Amino acid sequence: MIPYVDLDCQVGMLVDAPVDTATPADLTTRQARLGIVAAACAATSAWWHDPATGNAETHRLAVGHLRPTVMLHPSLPGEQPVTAEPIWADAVLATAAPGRHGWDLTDPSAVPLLDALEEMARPLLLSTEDLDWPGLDRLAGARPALTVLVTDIGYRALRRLVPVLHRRPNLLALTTNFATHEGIEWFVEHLGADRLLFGSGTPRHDPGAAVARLQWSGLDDATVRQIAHDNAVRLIPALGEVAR
Amino acid sequence: MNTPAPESTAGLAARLLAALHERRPLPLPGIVDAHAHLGPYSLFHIPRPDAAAMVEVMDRTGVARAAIAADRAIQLEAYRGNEEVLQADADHPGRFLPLGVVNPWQEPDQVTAAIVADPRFRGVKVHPDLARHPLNGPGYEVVHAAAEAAGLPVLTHTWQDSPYSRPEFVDDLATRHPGLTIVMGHAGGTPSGFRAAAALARRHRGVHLEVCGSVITGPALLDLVNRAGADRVLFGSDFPFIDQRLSLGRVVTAGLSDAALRAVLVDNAVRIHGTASRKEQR
Repeated sequence: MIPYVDLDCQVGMLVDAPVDTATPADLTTRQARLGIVAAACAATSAWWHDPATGNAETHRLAVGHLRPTVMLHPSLPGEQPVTAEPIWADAVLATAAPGRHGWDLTDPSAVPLLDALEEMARPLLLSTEDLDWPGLDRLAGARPALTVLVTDIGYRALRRLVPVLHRRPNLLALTTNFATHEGIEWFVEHLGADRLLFGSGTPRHDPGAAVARLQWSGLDDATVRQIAHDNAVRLIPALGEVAR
Repeated sequence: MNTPAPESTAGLAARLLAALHERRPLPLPGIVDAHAHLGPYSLFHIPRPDAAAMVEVMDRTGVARAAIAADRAIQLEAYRGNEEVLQADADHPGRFLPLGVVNPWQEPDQVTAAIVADPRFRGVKVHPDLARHPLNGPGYEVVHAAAEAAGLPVLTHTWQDSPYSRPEFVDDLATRHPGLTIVMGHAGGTPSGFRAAAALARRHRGVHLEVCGSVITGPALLDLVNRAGADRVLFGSDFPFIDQRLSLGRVVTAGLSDAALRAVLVDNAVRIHGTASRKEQR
């Protein structure tokens, strides 16, 4: 069985859909059936409720093969900076949802946050639902030392994605809801397997669907394993340690 | 592919999951993808949207047949698109179930009559949202009446809150045409739409629910099957519009019972579309 490392999953409830991954135990059970051996994980509250509260919940919930991610947020007067939150040192990657949380990642006030990420050599995961392709292009161009993981690519993105990824080698793509017919195969042929990493998008998207897309792909076993596992543990060695 | 051989469903879920893990085609003969397309689309690039590439994917996943409507037919012109699906069927015998598209703005009477008269077509596809005409509007009435009389299924795009294809319109249609087999593509499209669609399937014996879509997940699929009944739910993928493997993986890993898996993947579609061509059925 090819082992999978999921760089994009959440644990907890959703407001508008049923979930079967409300607790870490539920998520672990679902992932075990699919061969997902390690995951970068957030509490759903970090994305869909309050970043600071969510970070604290993520820190509590992400144990064992679930490693925590930290949700960036700007600190207003009277708020604790995210870099001072207990999760900061433990998180295996950072996320930001400026669209969802009502701030601007390209505002000068975000510079110290991005500097801190670069200093720790920690990748930043961004959804195309929070920052569009021109925004991703500008961010990656301004921050060539920052590795940006792009999630929620969808099935309509190839014409926008290709020129931006050609320009910005520090942009990597996640498979989360990358739903183009033969899209995985096309990406590998034209952009390379080293720039594609597995993400499920659980619980917004179905982890079984995410695994099936690679398992039934036209790629050879070594390439599937590279996308499913090897690229992630090379980028984030801490995930490789829990995946053993 | 051949007619599915009778076999025990015991342990089916485990066998299908094992095949997925081992990168083998699903070991279940006769799987039907009840909602598929053919060809390119305007809004985005689709690599290899042709029939030969689709068959390659089906061979990898273990899908025997796919019910196809051409993207050209749903988004531009029915006549030429319908010719494309017949050609795909001719090029790959036994792998496709051609669906004829009727557009309410493009001679619906003549196109409907041509579809009903041609046994190569296995059903009708309508896309009210692209045609911007309500599913239960006057432009589609000829389709529903003729399909009901001919015993042809109608696959329609459905989406909760759509001004053209929301589930209430299916309710109206099924009430006026109780003998019509209606396949609700996307099963209403959203979690609220799934609930509405499941209720319709319980209310009308002709209403069936097809489960491809961007927002449906395993838990939602399981809930849909529990509410509507496994005999009313069909696997479909929308491919090559989107990736077939997504919907199929979702169905296989959702936690459905062995019997429900067989119904959703094979039996319900066979009941609707048959196994032999319409010509052979005559």
